Parts: sequence; structure tokens; C-alpha cells
Amino acid sequence: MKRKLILFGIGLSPFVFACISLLWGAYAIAPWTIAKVLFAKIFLLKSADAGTELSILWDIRLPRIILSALVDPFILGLSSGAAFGCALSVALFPQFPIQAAAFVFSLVASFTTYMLARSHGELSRLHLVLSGIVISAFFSALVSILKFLVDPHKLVSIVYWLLGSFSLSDWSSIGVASLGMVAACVPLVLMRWRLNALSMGEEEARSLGIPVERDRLIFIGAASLAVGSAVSVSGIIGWVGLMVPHLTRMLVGPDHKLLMPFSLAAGAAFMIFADTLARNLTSFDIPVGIITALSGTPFFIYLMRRGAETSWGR
Amino acid sequence: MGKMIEAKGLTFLHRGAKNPVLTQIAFQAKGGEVTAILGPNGSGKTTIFQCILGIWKFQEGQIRLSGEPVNQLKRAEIAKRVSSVPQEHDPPFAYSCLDIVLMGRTAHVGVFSSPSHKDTALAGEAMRTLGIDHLAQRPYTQMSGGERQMVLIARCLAQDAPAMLLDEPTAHLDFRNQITILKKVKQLVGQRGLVALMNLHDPNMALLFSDHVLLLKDGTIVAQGKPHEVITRESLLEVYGLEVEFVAENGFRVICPKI
Repeated sequence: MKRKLILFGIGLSPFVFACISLLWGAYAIAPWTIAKVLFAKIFLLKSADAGTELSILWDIRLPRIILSALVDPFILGLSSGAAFGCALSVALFPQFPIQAAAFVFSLVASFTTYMLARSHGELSRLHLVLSGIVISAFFSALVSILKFLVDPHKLVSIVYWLLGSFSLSDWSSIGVASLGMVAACVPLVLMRWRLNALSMGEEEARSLGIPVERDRLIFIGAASLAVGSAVSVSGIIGWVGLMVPHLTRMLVGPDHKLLMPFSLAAGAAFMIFADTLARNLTSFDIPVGIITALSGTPFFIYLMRRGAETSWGR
Repeated sequence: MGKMIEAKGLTFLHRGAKNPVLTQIAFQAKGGEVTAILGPNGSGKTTIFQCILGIWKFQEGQIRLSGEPVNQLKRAEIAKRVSSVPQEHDPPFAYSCLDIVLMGRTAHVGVFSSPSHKDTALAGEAMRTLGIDHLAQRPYTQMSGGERQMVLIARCLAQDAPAMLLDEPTAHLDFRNQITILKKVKQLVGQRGLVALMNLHDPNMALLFSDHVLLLKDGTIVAQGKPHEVITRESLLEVYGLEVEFVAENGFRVICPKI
């Protein structure tokens, strides 16, 4: 019973935070007006209130909320690759779409990480993490070169973009991001139960009947696509992909059948929440990546002290 | 074709290695029988398992699972024919015991779906068969060694394959649990006519619980046959380099090393 309540709560959370976020902003709008404006817009009615409120809600706040809900988890140490792709496209090849660059380089980064970790036959978790760090460092260095070489005007946009922010959200970026997201999430969500067996290690997964190479290819490919499309519209927003699944695992247990959809919901809720803070804490718009990183650090110190053993939350 | 694991002329080398790990291995493990593989560390016992499961590709010879060559079967098809209890076992997350048993259904569940009610029911039934249904919602990582082995055997039953490999199922278990596990395996094999192939360290356990024994030394089978015929003073001396004495009491023969 208590468990059902928790699951229900997590499932509902993105919508709750979305409502709060709609209400809360530099330009005060009454709840009633919001309801009226959105109702009018959705059902294509002419409304007397239109104008500013509509424009703030429909063109600024709502896309931003939807976007922050879309952009979340999957970190495989591949965001640095995506970052490099984006920086490259901003700095040197403006004719090459940022999304594509982010996707290609997140794939490059994740597969290099994977190949490096695999060089000794069986893939070990430690090797994967270590190669992830090495590859991240490499791509960060490449990004630094670009930052150093590029003209100051472009530098500002690269830096802002590396910090991660939703401040430039509009409906067209939602279109772009959600296309990649949906394409990536469909296989991830449909195949999520297999992650249980896959997490038991290569040989055991094989003996259970999983073609490990093929499945891993699908998971890494799809995750790269998701990260690529997320990063291309919002920049790098770190820590969420580590924090949210971990917390969700404590609440719903490790079975990926539940864990994945609820991580998605919780990630969406968390990002909306963090972005609402980013918009409202100060009079200017702080990049939301700073908020998530700031909250990520104490969270991981807490996790490490608590020890991995007690991650069981039932 | 009855339930059977059959190996002929099986030879395996690691990539780049000169000396084969297995040379010309040939045996039959039949349904309804417990086949035990005895041999010192590094004699190739686990390698035989890896070859049967199709995890390592062997260079020569043939392994047939109920008549079908293993190197022509897909992963899921192999898993439908042979299940396995791995040696060491520490999952990365605290899955519930039921989650672990359900993993046995992987080969039967479609790539793009999750286990159905039927799969969950089969997993529950497997746990009941082993008398561990009360552990279903408990975290596997908090289970004792004996309980873990029971869960893994339940997973094999849920996998519903005619053959079952157990890699040192009694390692790390206390005396009582060793007996409990082996008794359970023997009982299941008898009731369901399963093929069971297991690696053992203790020849006494092989005498007590197996119907057929393969004696392995340096990747070759030195002797095979009925336990009492194969496990002798001479063969144990040859394989382990250890002087032993047989003690007979109340119709049991017990091996006692000379110390």
C-alpha cells in the first residue's frame, strides 16, 4: 500500500512541478488567468486576456517546462563527447546542425569508452568508469582548445551552453529534442527488463539467453541518441543522470521494469524543479547546470557515507 | 532424441595460446542422471561449461544439446536448452529473489517485452518447488550462501531447459547446506528426468550424489563411468597426486586422505 503510494507520487510529480513552475516567475500571473489562457489556446478560442499572459505562458514558460521535462537521465560518460560535438558545430561548422554533431560525438565517445574498457575481454565496471573518465578528459581538452581558439562572441555562447540552461527554449527546440528523445526512449523502455539480466555480467547474461553484443549496441546507441538530442538543446546538465536513478532505485527497488519509467518521471520532475529555481532564485537566469551540480555534490557525499549496500529502499 | 548433452572430440585453446585447455573431450550426460566432473583446479572443468553454454568458441569437435549442435544455435535457443548456476555470484543491485528467478525467463520473453503473468507464475512455482517462496520479496544480496544457491537453482527451473549446469554448487557452503543442495538437485533430476552436469571438488560428494563421473586431468578425460568404478585409489593418485584410503562402513564407501 505504502509502495503504491510512492509509485503514484513519483508518477504524478512532473505534473505537480510543471504547475508550480507555470505559476512562479518574474511576471506574476494568477492561477485563474493561467487556466483561462491555456484553455483558450488549446481549444483555439479567442480570449480577451490574450496578449502578454498568453505570450509568457505559451511562448516562454510552457516550452521551457516541457523541454526541462524531456531533458534528463542517461549518463554514460558520453555527455562530454556531445559537448565537443556542439562546441565544434558552434565554433567551426555552423552549417552542420548542432543535434547531429552532438549525437555523432556522443556515439564516438561512448563507443571509445566501451572499446577501451573491453580490451581485456570481459567488461568490468571499474574499467568502464575509468575509461569514461579518460575519454571525458580527452573531449574536455578538445572543447578547451576550441574555446581558446574561437572568437569571444562565440566563446560566450559555448560557455553558456556548457553550463547547461533552458533559457533559450522555444517550441522548435522541443520539436527537435523530442524527436530524438522519443526515437531513443522507445527501444530503451521496451527493452528495459533485459537490463536486469544484462546487469548480472556478460557471461551470466549470455547464459540467460541475451546476445550481449547486440543488446549493448542498442542500449548504448539509444542512450547516445537521447543524450545527443538533450545536450543539443540544453547544453550539459550534469549529475541528474546519476542522482535521479539512484534516488528512484532507493524508492522503487532495482528492478528496471519499474525503475526506468519512474526514473524518467522523477528526472522530469527534478529538472522542472531545478529550472524553476534557476529562473527564480535571483533576478537573472542562472544556468540550471550549476544548480544540479551544486545539489549533486552533497548528494553523493551522503551516498558514499551511507554505503552502497543500503541502496535497497523497500 | 532424448535429453542429453553430448561432446565429441572437443578441443579448446585460448586465443594465442599454444597448449589447449581441453583436448579431445568426449562424454554423454544423460537425462535423469547426475553427471559429476572431478578434477583439480585448472584442469578445465569450468571451460567445459563455457563451451557447452556457447560462451567460448571451441576450435575442434562438437557439442550437441539434445541432438542439436551448440555452435549453430542462437543465444536464446541455447538458453532454452541448457540453464546454469554460475560460480561466484554478487549482483550489482539488490534485486529481490523473485527478480533473480524471473531472469530465468529471459530467453522466453520477447526482446521488446517484459515478463507476463504466466512468467511470474512460473517463477513463483519454481520457488515453491525448492521451498523458498517465502524469500520472493527479500533482497538476494542479503541471502546466505545456501539460500542463494536455492534461488539460482529455482532460476534454472524457471528457465525450463532440459539440461542444467552447476559450477561448484557446494563451494562456500557449510556442511549441512552442501548436502541439502545436492540432495535437492538429485531429487529434481530424478523427478523431471533433467540432465545435470556439475563440477565438484569433493570426490566423496560425487560418490554420494552422482550417477556418472568424468575424471579430468590437464584438459583430458582420464576415466569416466559409474562413480564406484571411476573413483579409485589409483585414479585419485593419478589425478590429484594424493594417497587415499577407502573406508567402508554400513554399506558406504568413504574416501579418506592419508595424512
